[in-house]
Amino acid sequence: MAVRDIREGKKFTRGQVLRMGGALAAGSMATPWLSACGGSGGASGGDLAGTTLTVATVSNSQMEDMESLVGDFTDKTGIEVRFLFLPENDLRQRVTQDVAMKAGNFDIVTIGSYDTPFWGRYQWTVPLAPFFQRMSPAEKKEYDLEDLLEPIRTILSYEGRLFAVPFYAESSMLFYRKDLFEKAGLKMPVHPKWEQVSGFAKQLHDPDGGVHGMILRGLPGWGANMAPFATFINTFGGRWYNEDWEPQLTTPEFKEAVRVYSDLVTQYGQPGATSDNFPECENLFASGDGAMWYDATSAAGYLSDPETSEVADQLGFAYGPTGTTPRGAHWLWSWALGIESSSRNQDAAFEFIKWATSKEYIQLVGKELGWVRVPPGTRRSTYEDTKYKGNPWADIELESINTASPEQPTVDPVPYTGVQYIGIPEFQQLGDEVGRSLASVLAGDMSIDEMAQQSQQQALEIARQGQYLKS
Amino acid sequence: MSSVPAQTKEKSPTPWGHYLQNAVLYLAVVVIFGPIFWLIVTGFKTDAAAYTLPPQILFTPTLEQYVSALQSFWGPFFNSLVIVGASTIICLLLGIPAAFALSFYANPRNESIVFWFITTKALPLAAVLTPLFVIFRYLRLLDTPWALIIVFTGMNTPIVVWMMYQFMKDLPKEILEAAQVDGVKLWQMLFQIIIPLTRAGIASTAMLCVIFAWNEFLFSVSFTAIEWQPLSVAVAAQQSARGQFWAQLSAFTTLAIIVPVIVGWLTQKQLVRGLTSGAIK
Amino acid sequence: MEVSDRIPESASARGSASGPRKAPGSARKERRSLLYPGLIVVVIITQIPFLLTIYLSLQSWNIIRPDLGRRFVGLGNYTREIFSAEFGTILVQTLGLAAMSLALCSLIGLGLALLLNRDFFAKGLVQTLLVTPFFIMPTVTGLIWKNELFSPNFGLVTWFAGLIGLEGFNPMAQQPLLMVATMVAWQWEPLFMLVLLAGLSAIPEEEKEAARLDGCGRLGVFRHIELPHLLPYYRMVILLGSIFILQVFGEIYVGTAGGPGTSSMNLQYLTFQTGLVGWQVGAASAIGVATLVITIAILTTLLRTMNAVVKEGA
Repeated sequence: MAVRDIREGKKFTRGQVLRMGGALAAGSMATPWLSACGGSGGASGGDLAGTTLTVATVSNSQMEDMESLVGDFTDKTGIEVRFLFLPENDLRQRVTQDVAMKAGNFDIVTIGSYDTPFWGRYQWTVPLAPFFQRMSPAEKKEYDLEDLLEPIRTILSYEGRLFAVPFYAESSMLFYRKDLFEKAGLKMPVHPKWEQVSGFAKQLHDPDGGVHGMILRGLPGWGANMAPFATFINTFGGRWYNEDWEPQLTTPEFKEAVRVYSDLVTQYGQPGATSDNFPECENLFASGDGAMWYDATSAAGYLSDPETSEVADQLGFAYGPTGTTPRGAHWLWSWALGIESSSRNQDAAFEFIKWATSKEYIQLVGKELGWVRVPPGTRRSTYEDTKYKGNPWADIELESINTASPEQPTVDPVPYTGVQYIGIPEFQQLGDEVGRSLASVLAGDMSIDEMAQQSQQQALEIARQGQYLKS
Repeated sequence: MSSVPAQTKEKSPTPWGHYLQNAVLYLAVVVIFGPIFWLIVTGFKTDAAAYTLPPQILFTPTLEQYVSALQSFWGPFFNSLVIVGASTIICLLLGIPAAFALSFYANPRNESIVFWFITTKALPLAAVLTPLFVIFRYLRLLDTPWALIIVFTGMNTPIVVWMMYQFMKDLPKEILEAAQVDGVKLWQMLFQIIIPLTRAGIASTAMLCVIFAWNEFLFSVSFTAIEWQPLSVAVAAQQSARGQFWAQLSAFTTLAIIVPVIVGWLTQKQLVRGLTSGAIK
Repeated sequence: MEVSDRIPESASARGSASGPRKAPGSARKERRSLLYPGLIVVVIITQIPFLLTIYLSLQSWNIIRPDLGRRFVGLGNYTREIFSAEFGTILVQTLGLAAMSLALCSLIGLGLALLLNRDFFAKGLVQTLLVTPFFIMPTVTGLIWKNELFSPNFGLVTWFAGLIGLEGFNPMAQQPLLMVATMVAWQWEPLFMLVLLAGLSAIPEEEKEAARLDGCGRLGVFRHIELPHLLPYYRMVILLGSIFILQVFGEIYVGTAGGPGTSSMNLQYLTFQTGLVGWQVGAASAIGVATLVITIAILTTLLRTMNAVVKEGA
């Protein structure tokens, strides 16, 4: 891609290399030279051209597309942008360290809807309302803040104030192979139940023929196997904590969720599922390895692109299956762009995040890269006014996002928000721990009762440690 | 009684014993070097070809992965060169004289000091990471090369001290004593006698410093952002959300390991030579 | 250590015809001027963070809960983290992992060194290729194991296992600690190989001839000549290797992420997990200090044991 040059920063001539090598040996001249060039040279507001912004982001394909198109932004504003791509775990660790200690190495960070509320609470990212208010009426109309989907704006806010703008958002859905269903004479309802899905998986499971009934994440991690699993907990009537923050992980509902999940994986799932996260599952399904796959709606584009997917013509879509209740059966997640409060280029940074989440950007991606690659789930206009609505999954995606109900994800009341996670900072640790226990069950090393006991204990620890539980 | 000359290697009494041993070695090469070889080769495949099973041995090679990898390679490569080069030089400058002092001058505390150096490496890196981050942030050294240079110096100087101590411990005393009698000054003795004598040891110790610093990940990712991102972090950054072992990741990784591998290949004989000259007793 | 070989600092410079003529004080000063720069630099770089770590280990500080602040909790972190069953399990795993890796390295290194201690076709190339794993980044090793070789769906070895009829081949999930040990062994056996090779080539040919004339077969030569000679070399490389092998991180981080469960975690990874994922800096510091103490104890024991073995074998 043409504009990839921006990523690696500086290119040095041979003379410069030699000179710097010599200077470094003397040990004195290098530092001032190097810190003068390429630093964030933003002036005192006003003239933003010539500033360089630093963006720390996860290496998802939509972000890579953003990097490839950033020339458009630089042309319009004269602001240079550099990207740091890291795998999600590394990125989160690096960025959390940076914001928590106010190191200010980055101007813009991609943060998930999980982190945004407490980052906002701790003032690690800046509230965006003042920036939006300062826009001219014409700019406001063009950007159209109200066009951003309401549920997404809610999960990116703390106490009603927006702390990041969504770059893309997703819910979860069921992908299935229309050809395999037809051949077996089966029909997938638009709103399936897990019971039915298990039945389908059993009938279509054909490992010798290279097709597994159901592809599911098994890799331990709060954002890995916990994401789909947490929706199981919700939709089978369970919950993590009751209103007094007492853990509820030994209830029959929780155990049922574990049972259904592990049965699907162990009986009809892909081998080695405990090593598989989103990319691995996506890869498997796209190569025709599975009859069904329950995962993020954002995979739909990749699966529908004949260049990347062998099953592009055979795709069927259904809503996230339900158990005993439709509550919390499909999740809600957004990768958003926020401005670090220790950034010295906040105005320039705001220009960037405005550009990356604007209607024009959506059009740009659609025209340059194709309508299956548009970042989904953020704007109503994407679904109503653009060619994106021609995508067969668009309706389910929009509806799922609108009905995900992160504020009330469970049948019984809970003291937390979040569908596939709990909106407390300690959830990373808890989710990782329970995710590991789940993986043990999937690998056959632990019984469901043992797992429930262990998870209950871990949840209790967390509730006490974080001082949620008054005990 | 100077260093032992190269021995005539024994030949196995029976010819097929000889060939059998050769065969075992060749098999060992396949098993041990195989994964690396496969990594290099995968870099020449297209993404689709890289992932098919059965593994394609015959395929049409393409340079597109390496070309694309090179675009994001040079920046981090240069950063690694600077950081690793500077820290290795500093380690040698600090560690060699220290090792000499500990091996040459009698003192009941010498052994303990050498051991103390080694124990500085026993603290888990993750535990000191946050305190170091706080310190470096306060000193405004984040995303400069100095944070990592300082850290690597602290990490590797003990290695230099320990290894050079082993090499210097058994240098022939007579030469040194004679030099002292002749009134040779200390620094001259160091540079004109000791260092030439332990050249092989120095080369292999430097090699270890380079390897450990070049391949380090945890500190490297924490103390740099974009400007000074070293190669070990850039490799991780190549893993896109879809990346498992795609061809481009392989190509980039191959480029990233070239320097340590070549440094290692060149100095491995030095290590053997340094150790063979009776340094270990 | 033979002190008599050294130049004594306080030796009288008079009267000894062959001894050095040196005022006692200047030798001490020389030693100091050589030693102190390195010593002081290392002290500053390593001890200051260490002291901070100890200080933090007495605090409760969760970086992502700034609302809870940082409070002094005395030995609370220690009692909670160290005296838990999980810590004990992980400690055992750390020791087991190190032991397995060292054993594998010692055996494989010895075997390869013995085989390399001859002249044969393409010896240089063979040795060079065998040495390469040592220079690979630990994170890359993790990738190679996890994806290239043992991925349950796309791995080379998995495919091969399928060919010979092994179904459900997934050692990364079934024997994670052992797989980490193989990764570590793969990375470190070149060092063992080189050091032991050096040791073998230092053995005078005459000794081996003499043994053969006395009627020793190949095995006898090995047991009576080569192995005793190798003991000091083993001591050096085992000590050097242990320092690193007790602390392996990159391989686990990428290869197994400590799982399934916590079955392939070591103390280093636990510290990382606690401090940089759970963001409990106080608890992680406590685990770190405990790890330090345990590691030093292990190293000291190893050193004493190996010294005894070497002395016995000499």
